[in-house]
Amino acid sequence: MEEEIKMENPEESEIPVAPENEENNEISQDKLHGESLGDRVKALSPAATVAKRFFRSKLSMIGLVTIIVLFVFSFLGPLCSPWGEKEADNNKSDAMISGSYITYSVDDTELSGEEITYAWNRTLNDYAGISGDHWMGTDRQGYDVFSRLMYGGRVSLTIGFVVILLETLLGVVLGGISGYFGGWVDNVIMRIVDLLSCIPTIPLMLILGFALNGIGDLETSIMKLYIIMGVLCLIGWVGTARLVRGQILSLREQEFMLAAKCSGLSTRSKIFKHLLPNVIPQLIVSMTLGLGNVILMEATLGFLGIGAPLSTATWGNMINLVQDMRIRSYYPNMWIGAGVCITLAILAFNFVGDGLRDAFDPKMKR
Amino acid sequence: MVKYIVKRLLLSIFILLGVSMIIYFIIRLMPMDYIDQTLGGLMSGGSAMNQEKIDAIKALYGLDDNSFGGILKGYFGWLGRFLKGDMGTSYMYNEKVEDVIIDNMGISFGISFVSLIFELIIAIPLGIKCAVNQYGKLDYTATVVCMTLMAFPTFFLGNLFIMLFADKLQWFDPSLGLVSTSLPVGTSGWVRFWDMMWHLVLPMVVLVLLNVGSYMRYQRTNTLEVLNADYIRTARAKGLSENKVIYKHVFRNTMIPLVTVLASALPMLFGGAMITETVFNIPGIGKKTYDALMKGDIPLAMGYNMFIAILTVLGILLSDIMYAVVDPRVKLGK
Amino acid sequence: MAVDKQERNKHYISRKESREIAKNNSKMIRNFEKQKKRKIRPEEYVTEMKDPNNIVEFDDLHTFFFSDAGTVKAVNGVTFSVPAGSTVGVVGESGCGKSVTSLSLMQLVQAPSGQIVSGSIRFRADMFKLDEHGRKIPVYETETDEDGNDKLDENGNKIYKLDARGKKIIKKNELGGNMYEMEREVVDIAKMPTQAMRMIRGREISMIFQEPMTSLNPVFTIGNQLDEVGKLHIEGISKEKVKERSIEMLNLVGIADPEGVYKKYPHELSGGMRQRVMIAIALLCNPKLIIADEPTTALDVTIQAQILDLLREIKGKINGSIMLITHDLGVVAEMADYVVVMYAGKVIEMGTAEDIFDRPLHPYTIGLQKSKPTVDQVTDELYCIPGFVPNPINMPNYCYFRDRCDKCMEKCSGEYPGYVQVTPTHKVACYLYKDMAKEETNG
Repeated sequence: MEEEIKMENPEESEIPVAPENEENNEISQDKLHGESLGDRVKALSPAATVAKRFFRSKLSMIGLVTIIVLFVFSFLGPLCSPWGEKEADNNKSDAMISGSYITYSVDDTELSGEEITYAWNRTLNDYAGISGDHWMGTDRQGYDVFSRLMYGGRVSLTIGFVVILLETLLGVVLGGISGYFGGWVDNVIMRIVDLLSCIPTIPLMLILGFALNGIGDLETSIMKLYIIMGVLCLIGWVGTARLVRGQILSLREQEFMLAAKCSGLSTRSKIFKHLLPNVIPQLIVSMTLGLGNVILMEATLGFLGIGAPLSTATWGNMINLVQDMRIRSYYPNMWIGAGVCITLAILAFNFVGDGLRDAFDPKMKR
Repeated sequence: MVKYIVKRLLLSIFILLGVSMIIYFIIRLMPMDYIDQTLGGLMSGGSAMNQEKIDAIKALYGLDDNSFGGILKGYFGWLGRFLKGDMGTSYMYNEKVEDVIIDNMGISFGISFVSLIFELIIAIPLGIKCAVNQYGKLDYTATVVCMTLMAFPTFFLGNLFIMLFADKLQWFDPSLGLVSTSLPVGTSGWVRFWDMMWHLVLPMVVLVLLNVGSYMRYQRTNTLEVLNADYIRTARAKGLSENKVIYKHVFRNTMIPLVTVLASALPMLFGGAMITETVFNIPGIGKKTYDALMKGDIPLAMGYNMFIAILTVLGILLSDIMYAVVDPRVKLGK
Repeated sequence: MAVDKQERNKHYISRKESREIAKNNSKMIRNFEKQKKRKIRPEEYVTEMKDPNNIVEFDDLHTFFFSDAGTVKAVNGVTFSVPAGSTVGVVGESGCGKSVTSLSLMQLVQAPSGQIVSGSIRFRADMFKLDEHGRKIPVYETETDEDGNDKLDENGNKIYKLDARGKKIIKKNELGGNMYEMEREVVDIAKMPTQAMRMIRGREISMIFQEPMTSLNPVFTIGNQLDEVGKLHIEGISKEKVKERSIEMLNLVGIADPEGVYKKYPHELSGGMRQRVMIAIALLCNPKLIIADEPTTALDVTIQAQILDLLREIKGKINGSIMLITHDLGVVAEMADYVVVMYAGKVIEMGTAEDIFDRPLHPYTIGLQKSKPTVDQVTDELYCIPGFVPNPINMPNYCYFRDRCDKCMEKCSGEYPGYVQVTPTHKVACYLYKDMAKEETNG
């Protein structure tokens, strides 16, 4: 490049007081070659910029580490735990339960009382405190709280990811169709979006939870939770659809799409080469932030007692115990763990989502 | 302007129709014998609810015909009565649905409204301060604290506070509710008012803590955006003091998105904070509906959902109108 | 492949480097911000002009941006001056630091990353005299005799007019505000704290920006935004007087229906009208210097001519100076008395308009002139200067134009060329003329 320029220039020699010196020129060329102005400039590649911004943000790193820890805890933790999800601790030895009561019987006209004494060894170790065996005690059924936290994490995290993936898929497809084709298709889809966003989520979930109880054996099956979360997907895609449609509409207006059209790009490559890369960063951010929301939703369902059957360990179900006043004030070990896990998960996903948003945003200077 | 509002209202009616249809069909998912069973259970407590009455209710809501035509007939029957202003009678409270909603709305509105005011008083100045000193110490602290608070589920923070401040420290009444059980029936005036306040402090604190973060972050983002605008540089070039630049030029512009968001908070304001009310056992519309929904009180469920949907639609309309009010560039009905 | 990757990575900042940059940046920024927030102590920034005919003197000004990728030396040792009553055009490609120079003069460089690092900007200002408490000293109405001289009482003191409540009446100035004791001082804007700078912004120096569409606050009426300046800088002025003044200004900038426009919002006006409003705002306090930062770039050609005419007209009326920032040589040729050519944060040539346009010396100036299309010359291709403005991070020590220069010589790889005074008004920074100047002095 440099060479070419220099070759051209000697021709333009009508400039006044311009001492021409070919030799000089060449010497300096050689000397220069190792280091031109361009070489001295160091910049950041786009991907490196995003990665760098993300990794430099302390909060995103904290979030990322928390997520990894939670995953390891939930998916690998149970392998190391001696207690199963629904494995009650029946090893309580020193709890002799004894007492007496009187049974009355009416014999003809005479009332006679007979005192019966009883005693048995109650082995179910429920309501246990924190100990070496049970790091966070046991619950009402004698299940180990700490192990159940791990199993609960599996359900909660998996549901989070599945729901968010489905939601995003639905949203991208419908939003994409809406934004790309426009016209009546756009109108119909957008009215559906309007409609769905007016449905109050929690009351709907409550009704649904109640209604499903009546069907088959759903009341005692984890299927109910899956169905409810499925319905949540059917409502939850509207945000993503709005985002994708908005992006496509604004991109369609931009000059580079016109340029793409002029250079004869097909519709397909227009979408995949130009539209998608512009939407994906925002999608990743909205998915990450949405994950926290889905986990919260699952927990809310559990707390309200309309999600999975209570014997299934999910973080939501575990915090449901707090509805019992006695457990709330005297056995915080049973529910605080689940609450902390939910909060940590939401917080971590929010931190990461926020960090990603800042990292992707070209306007952010730092 | 008027034309625009009329157009939006017409659209809203279609949305409401759609919402009611969806909710109705979900309710119709329930098998009939299950309704018999639960309704029987629901009414058996004292008030006589015999099969006859159940059948009458089923007929009233068109629940007895489960064919497609029957469901449609049932829906239009409900719609006809709804349009006449008859939302039916709540099974659980044995009262007209609209009365249940209106009677219990006051306390919910009170809590939500007072909390909202506090949230704004804290969030707006803090958001502006953080944006002005972006990446400063205050900004970092406020961001971390706000995000942490935003991550807390309502029921967790609520119960945590109850355990700490009511059960353990006994600063508040551990039996929760709106008034003390020890308060003689019929007490009114200041005694009752202060007792109510004593019970409402904790739920309101929880609500403020949970919501202040999102408002603060919203205000911060908007302020940052406005701070970079050319007209702010112009304002500085005029020689205005930094306070005047921020509290006149920047703030007035951040009002635009803020007001729209506030208008869409309408359903939350009147519809009650269902989970907070449930956790703190406050007999507002949220808690009442929760209890009824858990028992399958179909008329109240339909009524409440429609109430929220109407509020949502109105909120959107209101935010559009407010947008036109605060932003001189916006003319409704383009 | 591996070599390729290494080669590529050479242009990217490593983790370690970027961490060092960030650390350094925050340290520097903190220092500069602290300095700007300090209390007003006039003795720290009052200086002397080198040439009393100048209104502004830039002296070795350095304004840097402490960015992620390193320190951007946007303005790197700029020295030139604006003589009183003249129009100085500052020309250069986009990104050469001409806007940052003007923003430095207003202390409006985008903080916190942008900071004036060193050098000075001397400005001859009418500053308020302050008493020992830092308050302005008012001038009171006095009893005068027929000749207009102050009457004195038996002790030789002035007799003040008193109002109904026995208080001294503050004299009004020509704009209808309170009169305070003023003194003509030369201040160094580069060292001024922000608080003191605010008394200069909008009153002594005002600025017209490039983007009329976004430079007015969309939620306030034109009247509100005009009045604001009057209320701020003309202390004690009545509301009616402010409005009167604003409408007078709108009239002055050629707005046909000033009362109507006064009540309008910015979005109801066209771009040209908005720029007129901006000029009206700039004129409101009779400033000594108006900085016009590419005032016509965003406007279409017919409006451009009108706005330029307007600027020329008002310059005559207010008896001030204009610093015109532009990349359009045509605009400079039409407007400016003096021209400063900037390249990559440095002034490479300056002189009177005739010097620059008739006898351009620096190869860059020559290139700039050649790249300007003309009607009378038929060419197949428009001339363009090869290459790009170098990225101002890690600037070398040699002439920044070397790599693009067609007259590059061995010497050019040496240190940055100093200025050569070709004629009393014409200076250039290029080795081509070093010898010539020597010869001239010798011969």
